[in-house]
Amino acid sequence: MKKGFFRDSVQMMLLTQELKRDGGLMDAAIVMGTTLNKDTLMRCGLLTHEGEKAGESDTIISITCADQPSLKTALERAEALLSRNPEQTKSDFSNVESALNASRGTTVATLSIPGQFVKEVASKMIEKNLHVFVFSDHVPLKDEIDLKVAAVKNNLLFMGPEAGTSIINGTVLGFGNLIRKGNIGIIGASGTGIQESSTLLHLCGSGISHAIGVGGRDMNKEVNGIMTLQAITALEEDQNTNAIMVVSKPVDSKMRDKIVNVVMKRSMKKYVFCFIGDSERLEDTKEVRYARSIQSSVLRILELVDKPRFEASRRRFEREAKASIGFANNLSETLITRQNYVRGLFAGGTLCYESKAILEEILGPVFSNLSANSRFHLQGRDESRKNTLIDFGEGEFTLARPHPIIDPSFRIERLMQEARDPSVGVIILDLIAGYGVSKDSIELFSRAISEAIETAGKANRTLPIFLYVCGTEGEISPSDIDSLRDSGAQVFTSNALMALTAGLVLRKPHRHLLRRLANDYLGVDIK
Amino acid sequence: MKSIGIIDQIAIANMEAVGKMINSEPELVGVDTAVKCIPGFKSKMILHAGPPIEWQDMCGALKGAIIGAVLHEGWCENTSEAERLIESGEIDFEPCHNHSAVGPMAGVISPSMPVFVIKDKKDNRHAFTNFNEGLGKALRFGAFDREVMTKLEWMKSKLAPILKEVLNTIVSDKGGIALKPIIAQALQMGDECHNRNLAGTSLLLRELIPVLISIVDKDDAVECYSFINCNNHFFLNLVLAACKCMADAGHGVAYSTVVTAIARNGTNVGLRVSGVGDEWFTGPAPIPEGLYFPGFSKKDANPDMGDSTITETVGLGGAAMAASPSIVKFVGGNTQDALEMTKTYKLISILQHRHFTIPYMDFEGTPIGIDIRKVLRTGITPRANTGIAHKCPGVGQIGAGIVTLPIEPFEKALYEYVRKYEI
Amino acid sequence: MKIPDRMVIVNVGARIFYDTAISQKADAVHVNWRPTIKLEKDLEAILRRIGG
Repeated sequence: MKKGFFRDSVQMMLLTQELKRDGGLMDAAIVMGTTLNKDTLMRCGLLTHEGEKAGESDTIISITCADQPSLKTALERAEALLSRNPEQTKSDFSNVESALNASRGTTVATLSIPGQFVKEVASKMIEKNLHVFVFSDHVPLKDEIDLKVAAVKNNLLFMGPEAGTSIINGTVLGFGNLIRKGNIGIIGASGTGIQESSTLLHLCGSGISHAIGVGGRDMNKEVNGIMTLQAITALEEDQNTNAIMVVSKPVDSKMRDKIVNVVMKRSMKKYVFCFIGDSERLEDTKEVRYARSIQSSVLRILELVDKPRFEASRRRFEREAKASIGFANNLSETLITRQNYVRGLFAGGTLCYESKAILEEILGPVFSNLSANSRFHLQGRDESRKNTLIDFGEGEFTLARPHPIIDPSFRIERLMQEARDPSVGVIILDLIAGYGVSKDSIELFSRAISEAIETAGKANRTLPIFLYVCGTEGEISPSDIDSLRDSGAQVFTSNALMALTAGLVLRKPHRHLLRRLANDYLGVDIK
Repeated sequence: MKSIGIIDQIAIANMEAVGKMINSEPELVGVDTAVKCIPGFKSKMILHAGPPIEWQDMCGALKGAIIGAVLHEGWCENTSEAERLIESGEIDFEPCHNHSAVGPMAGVISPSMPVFVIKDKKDNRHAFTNFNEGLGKALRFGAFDREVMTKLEWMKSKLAPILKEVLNTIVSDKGGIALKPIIAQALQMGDECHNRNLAGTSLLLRELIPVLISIVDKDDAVECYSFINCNNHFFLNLVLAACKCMADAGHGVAYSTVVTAIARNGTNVGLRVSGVGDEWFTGPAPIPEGLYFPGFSKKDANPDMGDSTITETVGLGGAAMAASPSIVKFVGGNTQDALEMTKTYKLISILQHRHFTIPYMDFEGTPIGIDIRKVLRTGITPRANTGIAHKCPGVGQIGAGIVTLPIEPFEKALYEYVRKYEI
Repeated sequence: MKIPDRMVIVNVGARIFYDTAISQKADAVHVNWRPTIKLEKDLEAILRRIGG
């Protein structure tokens, strides 16, 4: 009992709720000692002799626990909650120190501040034993290394930098989607890589335990895969995870071997390593399977842990692939001779990268702001040349503008530009749904797509526009899909299928090549 | 005797300074001619807003206002004569602030102009301010065409005597019009009292009209009422003078690091600190970030100007922005931005006002007492919602926006502080 | 290392990620972060002396 201590009744109820949420007790009540409240406590079996003596201006804290130690802990927690000053029950703070000092049992920090300041702030977080999720880009490489080393020392996760997505215990950090809980863990060196993997798994009826973003540079020589290994350790120890999928662009073979060796040595679980568009064809081992696209890696991991769903999904993807091939054939007839090129406008870097890898197998080298090869490198703002794929989430854009997932206007502007180019045969885009995405996205894209098709139509051109829609039924409704289809777009449930189909509209590859592409990138055999 | 450390000494001094600001009670007690009532006002002197500045350094809008004042005084017949007179050095230019006065934008006060007289009930301190001319072309924006000059004449010969009579009656009745209660109420009604004064002007009219209609000739009463009624910012000048009283009450407390004046002259921003004497610490006046009226843009804008930041000095204006979300909308912001503005003032201020409170923040008092140490520690300087003048004299207001004061004056003030107190 | 059970979040930077946390009914607070100022050494020394 706290004599002469007052808080208003709503605050008391909120504090009681918080106390109960913390767990470790069977029942609790924090109330003022009014007659009415004491009656209520009595009925709940929470009124003691001491409580009975409480006056109207006294506060009664009543807790029922299984044992003394739990009771002691619970009482300490109740005291801490009550002596929090009003500032700390607010949800907005002006600086990091006051937020961390507000003793709420914080476990995770999410950072989206300019890259040069990340080290300063994240170091404090790690010192306070918080896991850190860093959305920021332009973090100096040295800072990333120092921070990850510190995190590992403290047994913490450092997700990022430039992590677009993580999903821990069903809670999305950054962007992300509503994914069913399941037994597959994802480790991603990319945000949209995690988004497509997780949504595809969900679509196939499966689900995830956790998705951990480790940042795009983690498996570089300098960073040395430190957080990838930490994430592997974490998922190995996680009882909800049976299989682990690692998604990344291709890495240096020494790095790959190092990580795979670690896995082979200690793992009890099944692994699929997805190195997107990897030119090297890797041999599966007993412990580790490999894949070269997100769709195919989803199929591979299902094959390892969920045979029935694997079968159903494989059949479905096969159907879709065959339908798309036929569809692409028909579309290509509608194009006029000049329409020779594909243009890709992407919000997701990994999706752009995957599409590029697939299209290059069909069409030859593609211009892109992602191209390492300087001959085919384009700045994002440059005019497109021949086959061009642009990642609008690249650093050159994000310095001045919000991320394309949040703000679609830049991409939409570019879409109009491409629609006016008579050499364009097909346009491909990713439409990311879920957290962080503006509610108007679907409408904005639908309108823009109609307009683009109309513009081409006025010049007597058909303009195929393909959309990979990344989201689950909780975020994209059937009527959203209808609205996009009504605008004239062709909607795909995987990025690889979209890219492959786009390639087929422009060129008809030899039967053997087509079969190999379908196998490598879609995970299906189309005979 | 136990000696206390410098930090405690400063804390005590600051509490005293801000306490005095909070408890000040400015009242409107009359109308008079500038040269007759303003201390130290010489016959060939013109007061202006902001810190001291020479003619050659003045911005276009301020020069225009001064030329207009020279013509209004009848010292010259035309612009070129006026410029010659000014360049001859015959006219003294001084900050309004140095003479217990304040004025918005150019803030020009010349000897024969009518001014409001404000008195602090607590300590008989006085403050003075000119009459607000209204919207559109005005002397305070550097305009001095026939329309402006005619209105200035009318204000002097018609409006001033009427208001003088009205106020004399009110003074004999109840001592004067208490300005703090009006300001406090206006805050609850959506004014922040710097760039939005609609409520304050309405409340002032309620004080004036009963006397106006009972003692003044009907036509005159209508003329006077209409003039004030058409100008939503009429109350602004009175707010400034009231704030000047409050700020001056806190000035001159030894060891205090609290800001007691912030003012701009279109070229420089100047500030004064309670414990550092009457010296002005200056920095370049920035151009406000904001929205422009059709046809104008940032390249037309005059740097920030006016004594109106005396409001931010005593817990109004930017510090009270959370009370006035509607004007943030006008500059492209939203309610959250208004709230944020007040919250940032909290980070650089000592106390919360006892009488000026914000309903939206559970009636929390506005942040008052800007501490130069906190400004330098956080890097956060005061920001204000303000009008933007055209850089060429005579054009007028071209937009409104948010101005962020420079950090330089605060640094200079701190250096002088340690020199003075040998710390 | 153990993956955290309880997600009690402090968001520093863009508010959109705080909104995301709240819309998932996660326990979260938001920090309106501002970069710390690197002051001139002498100003820093003065402020430390007089309690800034």
